[in-house]
Amino acid sequence: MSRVPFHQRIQELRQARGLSLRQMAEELEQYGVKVSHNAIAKWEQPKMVGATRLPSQEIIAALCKLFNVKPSFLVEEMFSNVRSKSDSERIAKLLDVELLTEEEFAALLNVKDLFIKSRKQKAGEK
Amino acid sequence: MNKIVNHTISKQASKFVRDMVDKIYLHENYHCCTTAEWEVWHLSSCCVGRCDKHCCASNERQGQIMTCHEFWSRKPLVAQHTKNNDFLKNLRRTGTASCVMQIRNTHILWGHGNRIYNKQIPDHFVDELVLAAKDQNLFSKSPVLGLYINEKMLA
Repeated sequence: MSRVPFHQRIQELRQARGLSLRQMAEELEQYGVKVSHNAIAKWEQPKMVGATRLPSQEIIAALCKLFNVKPSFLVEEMFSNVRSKSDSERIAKLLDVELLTEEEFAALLNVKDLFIKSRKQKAGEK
Repeated sequence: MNKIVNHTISKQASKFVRDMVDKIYLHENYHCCTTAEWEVWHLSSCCVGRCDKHCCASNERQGQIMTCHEFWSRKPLVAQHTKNNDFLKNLRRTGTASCVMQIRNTHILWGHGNRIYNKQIPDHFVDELVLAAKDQNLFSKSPVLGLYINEKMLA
């Protein structure tokens, strides 16, 4: 199962909270780290595979406090090829999606997207 | 990216790795020693000789003991030990990396910047994490070195 890259994760979390780059920089300052909005914009830029440079440990810790997430959630990309057996079992259960019609498959994707959207909204409310 | 493993590992082993990463960034760790290039930090266990924590201070160093500081400050030794392990190459290239090292006990290492975090892998996760790390050239072992982790060890 592919993992969400750091740049994408940060952007999703920021947007879910409805923060601009400047607002996020201001919020981070409350957690003891001073970064510019330009630095955050750089974090959100897609990187080439194998070229991601994470921010410092202090910034990772502050991001976790700001978004109320665990560090491993933010740096999930580091586990890009770590697949737990439970992931494999989930994938195995999806192998028969080919049997669905286009409409049924689209409906399945809609349900999945609704779950993820709901989680993002909850994260944004915190 | 500096992949830890390319294998399917158990959910429990995956949780162990994630918990370690969480503890690293939430500062549930402590500084062991500093060399010219690296800061070595530990989670849960510590080495004797350099650390002033109670568990270490109560031990006495005996014989030819290889501490973390002695190991990481000797570049030829580190190079020799990690010649088939891409950990340091990845760390220098991207700023973050991880690997599994067997130096008497088996440890998982996580590097970020100039910091190297180290945690001993519980026996029941060793086989699968070693296998997975080997697959990515992120494993190394030494039959002769012994890092001193919480108990006396002769090199």
